Amino acid sequence: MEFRLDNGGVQISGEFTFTDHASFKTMIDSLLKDGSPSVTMDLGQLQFIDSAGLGMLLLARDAFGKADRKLVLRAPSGQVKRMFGLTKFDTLFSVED
Amino acid sequence: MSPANPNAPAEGAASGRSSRDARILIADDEPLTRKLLAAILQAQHFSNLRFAENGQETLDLMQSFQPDLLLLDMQMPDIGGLDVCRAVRLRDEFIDIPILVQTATVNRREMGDLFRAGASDYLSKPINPAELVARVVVHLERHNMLRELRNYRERISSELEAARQMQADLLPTLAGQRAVAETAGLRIASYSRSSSEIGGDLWGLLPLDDGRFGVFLADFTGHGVTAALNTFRLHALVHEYRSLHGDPAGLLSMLNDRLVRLLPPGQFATFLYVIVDSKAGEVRFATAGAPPPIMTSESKDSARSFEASGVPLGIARGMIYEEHIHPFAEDMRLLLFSDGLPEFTNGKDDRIGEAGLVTKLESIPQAIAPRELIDSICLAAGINDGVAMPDDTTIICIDRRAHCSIPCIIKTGLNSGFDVACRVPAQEEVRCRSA
Repeated sequence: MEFRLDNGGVQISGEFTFTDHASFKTMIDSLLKDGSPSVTMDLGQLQFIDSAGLGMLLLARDAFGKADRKLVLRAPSGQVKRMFGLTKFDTLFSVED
Repeated sequence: MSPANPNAPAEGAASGRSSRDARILIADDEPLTRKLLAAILQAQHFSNLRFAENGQETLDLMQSFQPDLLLLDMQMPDIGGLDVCRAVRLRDEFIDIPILVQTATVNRREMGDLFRAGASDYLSKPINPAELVARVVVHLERHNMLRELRNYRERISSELEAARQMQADLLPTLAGQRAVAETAGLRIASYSRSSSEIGGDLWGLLPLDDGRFGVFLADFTGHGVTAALNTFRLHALVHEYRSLHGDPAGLLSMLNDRLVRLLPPGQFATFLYVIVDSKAGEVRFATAGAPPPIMTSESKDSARSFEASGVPLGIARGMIYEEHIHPFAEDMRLLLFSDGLPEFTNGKDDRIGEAGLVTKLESIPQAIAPRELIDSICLAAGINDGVAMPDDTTIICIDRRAHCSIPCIIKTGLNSGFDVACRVPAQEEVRCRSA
């Protein structure tokens, strides 16, 4: 998984699996330090997510909730969109097209 | 570990056993040197000492005394120190015992010979008492820690083996599968493999009335010990709610509410529960984010996924799940699997994915038995016995064609387009056995 921070949001690309735990956590911590009330995570370039990746998204959602901030997921496609559909993750997060 | 101060008490902290209790064998042909070494060690409260006056006696005492450390003189009349060293190291039980060699030489080549023969360290003669004690203590501590580490690893690996066996016992036995299959008049085959000793997949058969039965497949996030412990919890919960075994959606809601309280944030289980009713010719099922099962139909010559969704178990309280009904005619079979199958990767080739599985199932001859179907699917996904599994993987095939009504003969060979062909000699005919 690679990520790129840009004006209050982050773009994630590649494959998001259990091996990305540490780097994802670091990225979330740095986003939490930033003050904007809503953070957008752009998943448009993300090609694959496994259940560990979904678990990390849940942890991120909880961390943002605790900080009274909002996490928005944008443009999941392909296998990622399919996983969101199967697990109804689109009802657990704010997901934008 | 602080060997710098030889006067400090040398507790083998890791072993809980004092280094002062260590058995030390002093091998020297000079009576005066033996006395001197003993006096220095006894002054530091090492009391478990034995003495050898020559090489042969050293080897004999190694066997009978089983020392923790050997203090060895290089010049002994019968067998030289180097040969004693080599002979000791040949024995498995002494492969890592500390051997401290006393030597007067400072010749680099001879020192090399000494270490090659298996010495752990050396003491220059004349003996300096502080150096002797410091080296004895540091080697005993190191040896103790190594032993402790080895014992720990052996204990963990035997406990993991016991846990692996316990987890295997949670899964339906072959006899259990056969009994359910016979009552329902169909065939069942299964495959399960963990990425390490124990894993986070669980499946089970729940016999109901009138030949009906339930089959569930669960997959906890992650793998290893945490995920495996959760499978034990889930197994207990599934059996606790026996009254809901006939109600897929109700069972999932109940399991979800229990797991929400048990699982920490970020952890969940995907879960699929299917009730197979051969008499009614249908399946009723509910899913909590599990990979959609695939149904094949012989008459329609097709394979397709059940499109159904649901929030995985353990994430949010109060989830409502939907029950779906699908025909399960006599010419159909059902493939259930955890995400380890479509997501399998050896790091080089592409994952087969759900779509790839459907395509594969469409191309597999209908007459093939459930066991062979699973083999063929594994092969297509890149899974074989020798390959490392990145994730826990479970596959279950339920085939309604209990007795092949039409005598079916599969021509296997180079032109059959049939992967299993590589497992049987070319052009051999494989007759579909009736159950």
